[in-house]
Amino acid sequence: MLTQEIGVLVRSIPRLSPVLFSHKRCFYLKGLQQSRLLYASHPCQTLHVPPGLLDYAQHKLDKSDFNFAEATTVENLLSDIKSSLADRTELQLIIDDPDGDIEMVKLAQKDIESIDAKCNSLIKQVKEYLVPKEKYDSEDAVIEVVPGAGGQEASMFAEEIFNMYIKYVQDMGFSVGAVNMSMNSVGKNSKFSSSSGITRATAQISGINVFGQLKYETGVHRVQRVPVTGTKNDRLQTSTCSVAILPKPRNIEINIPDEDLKFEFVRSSGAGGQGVNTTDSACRVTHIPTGTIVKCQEERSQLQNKKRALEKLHYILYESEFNTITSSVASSRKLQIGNMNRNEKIRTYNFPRHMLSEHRVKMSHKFPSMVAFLYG
Amino acid sequence: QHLTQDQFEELNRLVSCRLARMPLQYIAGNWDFREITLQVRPPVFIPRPETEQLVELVLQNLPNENEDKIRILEVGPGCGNICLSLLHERSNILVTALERSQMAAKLTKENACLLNLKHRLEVHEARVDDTTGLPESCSVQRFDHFVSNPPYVLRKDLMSLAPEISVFEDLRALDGGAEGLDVVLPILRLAQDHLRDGGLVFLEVDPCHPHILPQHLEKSNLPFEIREVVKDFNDKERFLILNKIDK
Repeated sequence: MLTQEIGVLVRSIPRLSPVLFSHKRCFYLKGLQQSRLLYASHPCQTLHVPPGLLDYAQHKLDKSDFNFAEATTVENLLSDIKSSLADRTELQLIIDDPDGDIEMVKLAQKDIESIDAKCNSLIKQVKEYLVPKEKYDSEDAVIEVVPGAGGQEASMFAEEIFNMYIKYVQDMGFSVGAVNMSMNSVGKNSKFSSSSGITRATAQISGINVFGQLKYETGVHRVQRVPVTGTKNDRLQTSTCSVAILPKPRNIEINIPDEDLKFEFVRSSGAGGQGVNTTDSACRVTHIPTGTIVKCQEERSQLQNKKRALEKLHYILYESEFNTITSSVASSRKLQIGNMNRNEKIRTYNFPRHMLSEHRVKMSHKFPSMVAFLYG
Repeated sequence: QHLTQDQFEELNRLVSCRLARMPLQYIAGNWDFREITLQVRPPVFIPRPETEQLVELVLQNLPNENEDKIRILEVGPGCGNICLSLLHERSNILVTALERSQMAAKLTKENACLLNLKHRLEVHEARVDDTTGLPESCSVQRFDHFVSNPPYVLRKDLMSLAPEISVFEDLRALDGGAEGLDVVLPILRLAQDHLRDGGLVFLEVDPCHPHILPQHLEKSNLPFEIREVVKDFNDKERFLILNKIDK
């Protein structure tokens, strides 16, 4: 299917991600590819267990650094590796035995080769789990498409790109919510849709590892085509739109240890206790690290005032954490899009030649039905 | 939003009550204590906020919620704030309460009904002093813990109470005698016979009591020692946890 073709291109980007921003890494990757080829052609792969790898993996398991699904997989991998290594030592004994039968030794050597190959691949899998994930990769995302240079043509292109992404994302199994499209009210309609483009469109996308999958889409997308507004001139026009993918933090965990809190209650005169009747059980809690002070006196029992105050404090800390994240995200958006000039493009959709060029990894791909794909 | 004539008259009536120094809680008719709301009416003693911490202390010293029933004796429940809070917050507690005031005992039973907790509470009208001991009508004779907010105000301090208290509340709920220990010591005597080994006595007291109680225990030959003294939110030594010692 067409979806898959472009999907393949788009999805291959993450695997080459170390390359995206540095030429040096480009050479490294090429080197790695070369050595992999070399590796693959060599029939005998020697076993290489990086020292400390298994201990480190076990340590992370014990510390519960993995989520449940990952932890089960890592556990299984580790136990497979351990049993393979145990088998290997036994086989090695057979080989090293000077009185051994030659046939047995040959068989043992063959078995060791296959165990080594299996172990190497298991170790590779474990390594993937050990590499720390990037910070927001598992979060949900918000996609924002804004037309750039190119006038109405850009608006229309932006709309098409936005719709394409919505469908793409749904194909990937994510769910889309809160779609917000600000349509252009004036202007001629395109041949393909009755609208005249958008001024801005956003959508919230939720699922598993959404941000990690979509983050490479951010940047300026450029299109080169004959404008679809159907005006008389058939000049090829270049326009841009910007795509920004922003992480939407789902669960901001706020942990407030008891030592960070200071509680104060209304003081009564004298010895207090039975000798005093008070209706004021107000509670004031200070969060020492941030200096936030919250007071609650709405409830009639001291315990309820205390609980309320803590809830309010929790919410205030949550809000400030959320604002920190979104402001850092907003600045990253600026970084992502820059000034939306035509020369800051990451990808060019060239309609006449049916070509898609990815500028970050300098790949070009011919898609005969690219137009059809963009329209779902 | 304007008040109707009836509402206005009612408000006037309530304000007059307050001007006559009636405690706000009696005017409202009910008040919150920890997580429950209790009916309060004169002259039954109004729960104080410090006592919320006493309940917290008891809960902290109970084992984690499990199947085993915990039997607690409370002396002087008043409107039932301590025992009903415990029953509300833990489903495996059973309480026997001894109350000398007929009106208070009635109010405690009423609150227990309203909170749906009466099946785990037994209220007996009885005095705790040297002569009576535990009423025979109690279905439980041996308890895991004792808890009480007994009258502990020293006689000399009784004179300087605000009118809210001295006019409207039952002074028998406050008067602890010359040294404030007139009820505390009989409670401990009762605990000597009816508290199981390893059980604890939780008391709310006057800040001077942690210092004078040990010599009284010595003098009266009561086999108890103060395990812990806990301060209230005003930084006064308010709570005692005592345990039996082998003699």
